[in-house]
Amino acid sequence: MNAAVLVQLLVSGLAMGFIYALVGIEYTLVWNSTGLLNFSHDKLIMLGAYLFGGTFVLGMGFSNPLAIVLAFVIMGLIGVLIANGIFNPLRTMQSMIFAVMGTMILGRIIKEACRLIWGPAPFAISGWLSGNIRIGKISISNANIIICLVSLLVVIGLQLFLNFTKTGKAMRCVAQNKKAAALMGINVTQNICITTAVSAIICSIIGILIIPLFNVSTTMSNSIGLKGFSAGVIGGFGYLPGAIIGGIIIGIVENLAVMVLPAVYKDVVSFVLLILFLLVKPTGLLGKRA
Amino acid sequence: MKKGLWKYLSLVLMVAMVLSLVACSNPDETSESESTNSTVEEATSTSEPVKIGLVAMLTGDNPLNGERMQQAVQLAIDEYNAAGGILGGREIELLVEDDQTLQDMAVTCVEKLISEEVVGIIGPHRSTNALAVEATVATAGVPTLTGGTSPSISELGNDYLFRIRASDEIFASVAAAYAVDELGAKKIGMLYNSDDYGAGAEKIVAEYCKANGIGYVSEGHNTGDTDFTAQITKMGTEGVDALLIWTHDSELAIHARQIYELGLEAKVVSSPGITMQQVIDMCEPEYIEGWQGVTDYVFTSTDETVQEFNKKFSEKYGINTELYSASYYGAALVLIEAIEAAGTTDRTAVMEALKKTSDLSAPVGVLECDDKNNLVHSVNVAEIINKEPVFIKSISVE
Repeated sequence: MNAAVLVQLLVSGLAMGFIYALVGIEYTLVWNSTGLLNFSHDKLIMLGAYLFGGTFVLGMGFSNPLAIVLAFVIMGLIGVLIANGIFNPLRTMQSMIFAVMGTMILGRIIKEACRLIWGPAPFAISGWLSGNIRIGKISISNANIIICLVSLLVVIGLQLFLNFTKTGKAMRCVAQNKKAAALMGINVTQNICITTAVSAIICSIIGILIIPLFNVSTTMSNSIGLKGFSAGVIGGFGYLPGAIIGGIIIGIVENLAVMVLPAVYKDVVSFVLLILFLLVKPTGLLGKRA
Repeated sequence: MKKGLWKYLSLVLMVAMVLSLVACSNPDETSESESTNSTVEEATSTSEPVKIGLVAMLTGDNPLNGERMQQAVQLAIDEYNAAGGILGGREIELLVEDDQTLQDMAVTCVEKLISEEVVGIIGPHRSTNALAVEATVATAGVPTLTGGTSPSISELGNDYLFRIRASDEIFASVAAAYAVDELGAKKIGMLYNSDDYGAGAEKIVAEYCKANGIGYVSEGHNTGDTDFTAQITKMGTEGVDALLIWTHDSELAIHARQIYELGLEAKVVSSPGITMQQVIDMCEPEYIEGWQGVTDYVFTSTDETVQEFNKKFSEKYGINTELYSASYYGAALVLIEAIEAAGTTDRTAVMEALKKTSDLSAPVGVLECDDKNNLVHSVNVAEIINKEPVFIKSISVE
C-alpha cells in the first residue's frame, strides 16, 4: 500500500477517533458526577439522531440549525428526566446494580420506542454533511472534516465550561467529593441533573454527526458505544483528557491495522488493545487513580 | 475514592447475564391451559378455523422485514378468506409470534405455535433461526417454510422444512457469472460480510473465478461495521474492474456512499439488498446509479403475477413490494394450496402435499418442490436506475 492509502486511513481513523473520544467524554461526565455508568448512553446517541433527523428535519421540515437547537433542548430535558428518574433516586441505594439496571432497561425502552415512533426502516438525511474533497488521490469526506472540527469545539468548550463557570466548577467539585461538595453548599442533586443533561446533549451531538456515516437506524450506535468505553479505559478511566487521547488512539490504530491485517480483524484490534491495557496498565495512559 | 474498575467490569458481565435471562423470559411462554391432548385431526369440525403460524422478527434488529412478512402473509390469507375459505368453507386464522431474529426465541415461538395446533408454520426467516428450529419441527412433524438461504438447510434432509427462496449458492454463482459474461469482468473484487451469509458466497465466487481463470481479490467486514475505507481502497489499488458486494442492508448502504466518495471505478453487482427500497432510500441517487443486484424479486418485473401482486399489496399497505413480502406471500400461497390439496389439516398429509408442489405461480417465480424441499429455482438481475430497481433478466438454475 502506498502513502495515499496511509493518509486516507489516517483521516478516517482520526474522525472515528474523535467520535470515540466524544463517547468517552459523554459517559465519563456521568461517571464522575454520579459514580455510575450510564448504560443507555449509546441509545441516547441514537435518540439524538432520530430527534434531529426523523422529527425535526424530515418530519417537520425545519432548517438544519433550528433542528439541531431543538434536538439539544429536548435531549437536555431527557437528560434531566434520566437524572431525576434513575440517577438521583437510585444512586444512594445499597448496591449500584439498581441504577445500572435502570439505565440498561432504559436503553431497551428507548430502542423499541424509536422503532414504534419512527418506524423500523433505517433512513438517511439527504444532503446532510454530504460531499467530499479530493486532493490528488486522497478523498476526504466533508463529514469527517466536520466531525473533527465539531469535536474539537466540544472538547474546548467543555474545558472552558468546567474551569471558568460556577456551574462547571461545581460539577468538578461533585466529581471529586460529593460529601464535601454538599457541605460547601453545592446542591449535588441539581448538579447531577445538569451533568446528565450536558452528557445527553453531547450524545445528541454525536448522533447528529454520525448520521452521514451510519444513517439513522436503531443499531447505529451499538459499536461506537463499546469503542467509546474502550477509549475511556485506554486513556484513563474517569479522566476527561484520557478519554480523548484513548478515543483517537483507538480510531487510528484500528484503521491502520488493516494495512497489515485482514480488514475483518479491525474490531479485534481495538478490543485486544482494551484487554492489553486492562492487564498491563489498568489505570490507562493518563489515569492517575487506580 | 471510586470503586475499582475490576469490580465494575465484573458488574458489567453480571448485568449482561441478567439481560440474556430477560431476553429468554419473554411473554411467549407456552400456555399450559392450551396444551391439551387433542390431536389436530380431532379438531376438524367444519366451523373451526384452520390455523397457520407465522414466526417473524417484529421487534429486535430487523423489525421492518418482519413487518413485511406479516403484511404479505396476512394479505394472502385475507384473499382466501374473502373467497370463502378452504377445505369446504373453513376460515384461515393466522397466529403470529415474534422471534426478534434470536435463535432461542425462534425455538420458543415454534414450540408455542405447535402447542396451539397450527397446521403449518411460515418462518422463521434467517438461516441460523431455521437451523435452530429444525429439530423441533421435525420431531413435532409440522411443515415449516423458511426464507433462510444458507446451503446447509437443504443438506439437513429434514422432510418438514421447506425453503421458499433460492439458495445462496445460486445467488452467488449467478452474480459471478453475470459479472464475467455480461459485464466483461477480467478481475473481480469481492467485499463480503464475514458471517455465514457473506462467507458462503465468497467461497462460491472464489471457486468460480479459479475455475474460469478470472483474477480475484476479496476483503471481509463484520456486521455492524461502519467504515470500509480500508477495504475499498484496497480494491482500488488492486485494480478490479467488477466489484461484488455481499452483505446486509445497513452495511450495503454505507458501502455505496464510501465507494462513491472514494471514487472507485468498477461495475458493481450486489447481494439482493440493493434492490430493497429501504436500502435505496438510504443512498443518494448518484451513489448507486447503474449498480446491478441479483435478487429473488423485482417489483418492476413485467411478469403478470408480479404486477398483480404489487398492485394488491400497494393498494392495501401503500408501499411497493420487495423480496420479504414477495417471498412470504409465496410461502402462504404454497402452504394454503397444500392444505387444500391434502384435503385435511393433518400435518403429515400437508407435508406430503407440499412435496408434490409443482407449477404454482407466485411473485418470486414458479414454485416447484425438488427432492431437497427447495421451492424456488430462479434468480432475477436488476439494475438501479434513478433509485428504482429495473428488471433486467431472470435466470433459472437447476
